[in-house]
Amino acid sequence: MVDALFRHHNARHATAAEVARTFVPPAFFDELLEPKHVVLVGPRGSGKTTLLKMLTTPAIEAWHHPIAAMAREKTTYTSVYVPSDITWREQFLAMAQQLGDAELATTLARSAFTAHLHRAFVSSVMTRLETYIEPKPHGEPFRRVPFTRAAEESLTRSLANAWGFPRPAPTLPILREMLSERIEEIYFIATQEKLLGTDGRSQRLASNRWVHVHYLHSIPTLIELTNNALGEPQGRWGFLFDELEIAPEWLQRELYASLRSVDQRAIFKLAMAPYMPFGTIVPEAKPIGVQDYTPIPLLGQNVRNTVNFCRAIWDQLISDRGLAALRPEDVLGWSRWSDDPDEPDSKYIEGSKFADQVQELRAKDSSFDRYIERFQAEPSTWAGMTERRRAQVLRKAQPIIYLRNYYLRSGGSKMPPRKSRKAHGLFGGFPTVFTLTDGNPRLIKAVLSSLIDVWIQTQRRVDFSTQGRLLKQAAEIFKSTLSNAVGPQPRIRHFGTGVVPLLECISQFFAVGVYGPGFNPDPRLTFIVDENAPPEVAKAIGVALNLGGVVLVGSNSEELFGDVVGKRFRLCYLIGLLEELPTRLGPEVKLSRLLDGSVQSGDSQVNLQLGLEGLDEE
Amino acid sequence: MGELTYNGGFAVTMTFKVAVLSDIHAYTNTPVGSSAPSHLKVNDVTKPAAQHPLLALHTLIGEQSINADYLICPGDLCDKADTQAAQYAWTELEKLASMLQVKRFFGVTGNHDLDSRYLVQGTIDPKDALRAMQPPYPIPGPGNDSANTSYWLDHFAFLTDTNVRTLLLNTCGAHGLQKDEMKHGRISVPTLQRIRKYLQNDSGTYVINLAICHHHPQQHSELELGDYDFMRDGQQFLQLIGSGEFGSWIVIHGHKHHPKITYAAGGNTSPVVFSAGSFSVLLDPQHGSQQNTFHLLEIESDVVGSTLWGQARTFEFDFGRGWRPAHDDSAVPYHAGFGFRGDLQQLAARIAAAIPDSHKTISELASQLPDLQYLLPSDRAYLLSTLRKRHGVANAFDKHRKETVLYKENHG
Repeated sequence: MVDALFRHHNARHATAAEVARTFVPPAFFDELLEPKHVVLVGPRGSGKTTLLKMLTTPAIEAWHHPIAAMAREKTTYTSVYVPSDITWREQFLAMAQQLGDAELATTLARSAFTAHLHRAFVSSVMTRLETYIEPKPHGEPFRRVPFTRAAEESLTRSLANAWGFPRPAPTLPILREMLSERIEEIYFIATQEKLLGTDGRSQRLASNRWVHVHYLHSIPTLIELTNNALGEPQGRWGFLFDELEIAPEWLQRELYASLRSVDQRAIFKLAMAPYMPFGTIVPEAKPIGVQDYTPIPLLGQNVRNTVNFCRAIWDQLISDRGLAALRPEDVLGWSRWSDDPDEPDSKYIEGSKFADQVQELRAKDSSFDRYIERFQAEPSTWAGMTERRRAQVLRKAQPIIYLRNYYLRSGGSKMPPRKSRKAHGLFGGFPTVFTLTDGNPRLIKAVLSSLIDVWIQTQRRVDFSTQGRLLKQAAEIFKSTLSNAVGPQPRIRHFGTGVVPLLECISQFFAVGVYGPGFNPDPRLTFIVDENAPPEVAKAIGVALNLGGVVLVGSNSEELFGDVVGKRFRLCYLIGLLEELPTRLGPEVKLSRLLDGSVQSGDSQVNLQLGLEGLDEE
Repeated sequence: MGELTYNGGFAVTMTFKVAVLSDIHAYTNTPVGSSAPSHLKVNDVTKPAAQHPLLALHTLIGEQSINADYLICPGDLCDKADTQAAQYAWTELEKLASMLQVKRFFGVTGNHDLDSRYLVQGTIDPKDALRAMQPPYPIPGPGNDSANTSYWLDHFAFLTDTNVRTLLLNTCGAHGLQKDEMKHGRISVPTLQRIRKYLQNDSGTYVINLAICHHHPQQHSELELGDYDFMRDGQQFLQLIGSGEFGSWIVIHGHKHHPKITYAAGGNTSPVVFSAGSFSVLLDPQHGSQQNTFHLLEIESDVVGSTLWGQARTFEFDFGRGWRPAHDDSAVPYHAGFGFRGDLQQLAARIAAAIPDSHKTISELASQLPDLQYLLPSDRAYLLSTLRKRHGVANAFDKHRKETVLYKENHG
């Protein structure tokens, strides 16, 4: 069930109207709507495509929501949605190999992209005209203008001429079809050039003027012509470039550099994955975050935003199933680490549930007992503690106390073995279940849908054991999607080869910090990709980042995307669940140090036989 | 029968709708060492509707509320004398007739319908299995015993309804007799004489005359489809019905799995010849991108006139997606017409004059110049070419409007 749900929620093949039907706006949506350059950064499944499609006219027309009116007010530009395609890069690489001429391949690929963008522009213009309103529109028309046949033909002739077509186009659909044919023709030219060789190539290519039209340079002209035709001389156009992580590197660089564009009528919104090492950009050409564009990270939002977003999606999932309003608290119960209103106002009093946890753990974990003694933090002393001391000694340690008490068996001074991992019940409840999704819409929908469906079947609160089982199932499925990642395959000696073994290695390192022989109230739960980390490992972290397996921590706008070296990360909470890691940040460790294979836990140095041996060169 | 259009209380035009599906080639089992002959296996319930031409046709009829006056199958119900499959296809046609709310449905015999090679053990007369089918074949319905007898005995039968006369011609009448007869169709000289005599003695007045047969009455050899299997003496048959003496005719035939509309050789009254293609056979890719077809012919005539005109609404089977209007560049496009036999150069000039600075669709122009709707596909292609070369009027297919747009190449 969870497996099917993972596959189900993908906006790539959904129409704008379909996207709008289920769209839940995140906290930053109004910022995305603003008529300004934006770089949207997030891993796969984080909602980039959905968000960009929501800026298009068909989506705005179809969207029914309390803030839909605000969205219409803010969208003072016409959006042109330009998707990338996995075949772009493959075809470009194939072309380059065929021709043996990288420069020519780039020229032709850029020409194909230009036609692709023009095609998207024509489609966008059609969404502004009353002529092309759907026979059964999904909602209220938005910024549609009446357009005579003569005006349409005049515009299409002008555009066709500007784009170097030998024959005119009488209608926008015909012009769009001509652009599709042009893309085919470009690949034909590539094949032809391969057969004809370099003799006479310059003359042949020079005779095709349109091959050299650059998409960026063509934008002012097409805006000018269209604005004149629509009678909107100051009309603004938003070019939404999606999935740039699968575009060729030269395109990524050019689009990023275009954020310094000074044509006020053109707004660029780029959607990309966080790991995009697209070479160097000349410093004076490099956009400056915030000044030239607004960076918007899709993940790594604060917990409150994540919970609110999840709650909104929850409400929609309930509504989609035709159920009466249902609170997540009532279905999931309160998590053990939350402020359950049924619990006493203060847990830090002798005799409270928390005090019981402390005493239980002291009885089976000598390292924790020593910790309590060292800081004179027996429950009998809590009443007299200052708030600051309580925070330092107890509040920070609380999740670790709960986890160790839940998972550790009684034992001697040796590191006690953990319980069976089947239960994971400690991670159930509201809002922990929400937090575990990291605000990733695909994970949110998959997890919450499965929990709601259980409630529908039983009509009772879903017990923690069931929640834990479903969460673990979701985590395993998510991990398996990471195992399909194409990228570097660093070998981790006893974990295996690839991205997943690397993440398992990191997980286990952190797990020792939480469950090791020595109690640590603030174990390391983040890592920095330092310069001593092997390059293949750094790239593998990048791949994991793009898939959502790791999350960037504490970044400024300059760091939201690009290379991973020098940046701080944590595991995504769902992956961390598989090692029962707490959903919090912790001090960082250098990745190279982590890979050394030894972990300090209390007075013990635990050797996990980590390390890299014989790195693959590919 | 049909629909009459009135002007001042007098009927001036008649419209008659004929649904045509031909060459079904249904089968029971795939022959060993061969591939399946068609999409239609008897009682195959495993395929989804979008992969099953009959089920997909049910969907199309329901979605578009299609109805007709007649349903016709010009032969080859089954493949290679598969009698069980023939009965299956015939039963399915009866269901279709009900869905289309037709007044009549009938068929004619194709070379695959007869066991002329004596494949089935115990066959004495190749047509026995067909004659045993239910409902009665080839003309179901009460009161048709005489017509059915005539069909088998004389190799033809006439049906008459108000304003409409239909000739069912059995071009496989000699199959199973002389050895080579099974390789082609035939209308024998005696049969021609009997038809002539009937027509001369028929005192009725008919606005529309239909001739249904399996084999093509004139050569149809493009796409390397072969030039041996045509109806022998078919040319004489076309001359007979195209003489003008016996009204206006349209011939509907099967056998060639290639749809086509032409006029027979002859004068102004020569018949329209409509090749229906194949409904469900698995087509040979070597013969180009032919598609399986289903047609809805809308035949018009002046009540007191001498010519037939009309349009063929052809649907093509898109495997996995169902029936869709035929493409503009198909052998018989969705808006294919027939009937206009005037001067195409003059028509082109009138069209060019009717296009102002901005474009017009064909359907818009047709409201001013109705003849545009009744062009054969070949005539239409010539017209568009003439418009471009002589008048600077280009054309392009608008996928949003789903029709062709004409526009001046240089304007302003």
